[in-house]
Amino acid sequence: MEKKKNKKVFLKVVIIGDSGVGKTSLIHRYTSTRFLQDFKPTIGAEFSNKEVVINGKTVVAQIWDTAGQERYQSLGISFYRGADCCGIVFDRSDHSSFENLDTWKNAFLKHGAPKEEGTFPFLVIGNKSDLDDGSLVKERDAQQWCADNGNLEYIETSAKDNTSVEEAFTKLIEKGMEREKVNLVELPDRMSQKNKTVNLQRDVAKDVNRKPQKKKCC
Amino acid sequence: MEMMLRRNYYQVEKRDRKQPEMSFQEKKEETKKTKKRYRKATLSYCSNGEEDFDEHSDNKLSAISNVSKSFVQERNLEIIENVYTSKKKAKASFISNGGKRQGLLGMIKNKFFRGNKVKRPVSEYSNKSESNYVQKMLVILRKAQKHGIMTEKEKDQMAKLIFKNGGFPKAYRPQLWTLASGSERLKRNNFGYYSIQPHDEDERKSNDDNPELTEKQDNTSDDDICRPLLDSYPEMPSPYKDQIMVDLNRTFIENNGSIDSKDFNKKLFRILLSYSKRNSNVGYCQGMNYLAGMVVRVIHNEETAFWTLCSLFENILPLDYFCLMTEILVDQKVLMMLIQKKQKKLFKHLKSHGVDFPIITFQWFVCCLSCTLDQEVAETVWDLLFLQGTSAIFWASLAILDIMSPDLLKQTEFNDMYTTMDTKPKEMINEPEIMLKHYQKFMRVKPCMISKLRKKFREGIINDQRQVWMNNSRAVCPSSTDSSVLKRVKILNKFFFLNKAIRANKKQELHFELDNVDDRLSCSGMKCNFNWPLCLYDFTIRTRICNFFIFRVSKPVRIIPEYFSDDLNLRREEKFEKLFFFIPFENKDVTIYDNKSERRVKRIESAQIYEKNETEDNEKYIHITEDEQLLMTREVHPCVYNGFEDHFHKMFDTEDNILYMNWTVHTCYGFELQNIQSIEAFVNEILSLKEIEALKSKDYQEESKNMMNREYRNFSHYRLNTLLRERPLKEEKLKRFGSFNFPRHGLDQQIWQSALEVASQSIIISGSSDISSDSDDE
Repeated sequence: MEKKKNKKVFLKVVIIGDSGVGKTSLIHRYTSTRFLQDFKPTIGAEFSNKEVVINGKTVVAQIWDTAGQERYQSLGISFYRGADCCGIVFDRSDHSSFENLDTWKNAFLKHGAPKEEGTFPFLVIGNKSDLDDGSLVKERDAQQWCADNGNLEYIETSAKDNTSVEEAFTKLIEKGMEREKVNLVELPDRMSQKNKTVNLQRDVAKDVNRKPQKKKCC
Repeated sequence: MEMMLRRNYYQVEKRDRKQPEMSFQEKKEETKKTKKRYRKATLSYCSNGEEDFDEHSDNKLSAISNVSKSFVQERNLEIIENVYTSKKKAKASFISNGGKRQGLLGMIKNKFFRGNKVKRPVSEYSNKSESNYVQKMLVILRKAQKHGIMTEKEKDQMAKLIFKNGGFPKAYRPQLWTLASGSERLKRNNFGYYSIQPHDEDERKSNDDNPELTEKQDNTSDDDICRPLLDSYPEMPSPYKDQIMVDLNRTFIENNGSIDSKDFNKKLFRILLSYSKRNSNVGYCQGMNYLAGMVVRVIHNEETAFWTLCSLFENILPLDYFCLMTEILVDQKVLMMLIQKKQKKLFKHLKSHGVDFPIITFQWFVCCLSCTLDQEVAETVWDLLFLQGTSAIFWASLAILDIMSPDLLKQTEFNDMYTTMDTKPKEMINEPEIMLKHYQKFMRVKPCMISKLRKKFREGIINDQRQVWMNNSRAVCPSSTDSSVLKRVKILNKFFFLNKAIRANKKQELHFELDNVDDRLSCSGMKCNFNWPLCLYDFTIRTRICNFFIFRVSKPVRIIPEYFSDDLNLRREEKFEKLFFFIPFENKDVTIYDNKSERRVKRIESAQIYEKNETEDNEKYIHITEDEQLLMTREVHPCVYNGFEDHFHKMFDTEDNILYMNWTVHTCYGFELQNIQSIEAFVNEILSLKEIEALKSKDYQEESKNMMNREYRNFSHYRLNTLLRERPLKEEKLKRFGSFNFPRHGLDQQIWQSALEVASQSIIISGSSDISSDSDDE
């Protein structure tokens, strides 16, 4: 068990984007190769694992699904930390979700605080390509936005038809690996390291150390 | 024979519906009359069958009881409940009289109209198949039914009974929830607020003995029911509608096989949308759909479900659970602390493996455990939530962790532990008894301890949040001292509505809506439509005078109720120096809400708030300390009061309003949608106004003065403009606007400043139809 672990690469993939654009569907499609017609809205954050072999290496992708509604942001940011790559999803049939790409990207850079702001691996994913009623966000516009924002890569997917979902995630993971360059990391270490940055836990721990004896209040 | 009795009831009910709109007094009298009618209906039935009294009296009594009982369940009618219990009294007295022949009619009459009290053992009128505990529960429920709400003592008793019995009988759960949450009372007190049944509703089939069927029939006439709240403000489409629609089909999909899911979704939609209109500050937050779903699954009556939900959001859960979610984050910290104290081993184990509790427990709290647990168990937890308050969620969460801890302690992989915590509770806790057993263990953690911990963590969370929102550039929150930020908030508040409306309406006829906005916004002559939430004043300080909001005060204040009842001007002269905050609400008695309970929430409807002076201790003031919370409602638009205008201008003009500036005011000022794009769009809109030309020209002062005088004489905010212009702060103001940190995106700075200038003078409001033509294209 221990030996096996050492050979794997662990990547933290964070998926962000407006509410209802299909983040959960995409992830679910990728991790369980099924399309969920009915699923529940993500509250806070959820995460799932997928083990893939890329360039001969076994990668365990830890995919974080975050809540889209704006007021969840103050929680969501604690999950950005330690991310190796980030997918920003928008709904091609919903123009406002495209307009919000800016905000999502900035929020991620601000709170995820990766070291290389300019080169951090993002992938822009335009989901729901199957809903073709002529009013979809055009590929040209999306490409333009990506070009304007540091030559990001763009891909169009459909979680429903399973169009390019695999491809999108593979790309994302590859990008993350490129960045990572550290190939052998043990999970527990990395995990605890990552999670130490989450505010909530750290503060409580501090408080506890200060007043360990307080037991009763009334 | 049940049919006959039923028919009698239906007739009464039908007649009862024919009174369309009644004042409260009339309603009260009407209820009295209705009660009498129902009694008569029962009596007339009884008298019809008096001949065969001897042989079948017992059967008959139970039959009557059954009919009225099922009728009660169907209609949730308190009235019949009385009849029903009286009948039992009658039976009891019959038995205690040793079966002495008295005549059924006379007997019932006797009990009804003379009200003799017959003491009898509980067992005599309860179904013998039910356990002793359940019988006791029912007694409590019946007592509470009269008042529409359970007292704290009754709640305690009920909770104890639930523990003894190992759960609560499912059949009575709707009653328990409505009574424990007080929604029954809310519903009665707010007649016609949520829905009004049509008077000409189809006649029901009287032979329908199955209560479930009748229930369904109730819902088929959905379209006939008038829903004032839901249909209010058609001009202002709810910005949350889309979000609710998206979430609707993903609420409790796994379980709603038993419920007609279409019907379920419809109800859910109406309830959620109505709530977003009731409290526009909270609106809709993902997760509320689960709470509503939970309530609707149990309480089939839509209106009752709505009020239960209101009570849950407003009275039971802490404030700001769903607005900026401050309290939920606070609760996460509290829970962490409790886990650390009560389950040291588990805490250490999980922590050493890097499991972050809030990832999982956050969901638990947002949904109040409704999606984490098996339905039956979750409902039991909710029983306790209604009875014991929010502490119930903490206890239940601790119980879940306790149950799962053997499993969790064995695991060493982060993923496994996460999956266990996420999915296992449903499988492992399949019986309410298991939950209750562990739940009781943790009840030693007293509620006051929880509230102490909350208080301890709150400040830190608020600071963190402020950081997030401030840095995020898409949201603006007021800071306590910087007056320029205050101005900015004021301006953005104006924009708040407009932007939301545009977003919500982007695919529809925005042009049409905004073309007419001019007419609707004019409050000339200070006569606003009561139901129209958007007069000029709303537009300027919308978040301050919303229909409904709650806040916490930052320091002790005192309140003068019924502010408008006396001579307004006199009062103002006299008191203005000390004015702290002014709430132009309706002239009504201040009702202190839930004063005895520990929650200490006060509900007021109109008031003026002053800073508390320690020497003063006058009885006409209500004194409010930091721990208390104010809950305010507005039912009539403030600008119908003469003199409101002056107040408004003073309020807008003076910057001494600490409540407004202080973060501890728990209303949200602009947590959403104020991103760069929207600000840009906003500026573009202003630029498209013709007034901007005037601003740019050299003779700006002269021209604008003339123009504004001419054009806005009719608008009541004319004076506001004058006030603003008369202040010799023009240069300074511009400077202040210039110092904002808005990203300007290549906009000419001067134009930007001018735009803000215009905005600050609320010109956009009356800015004619130009607003619409550009806004959609941008």
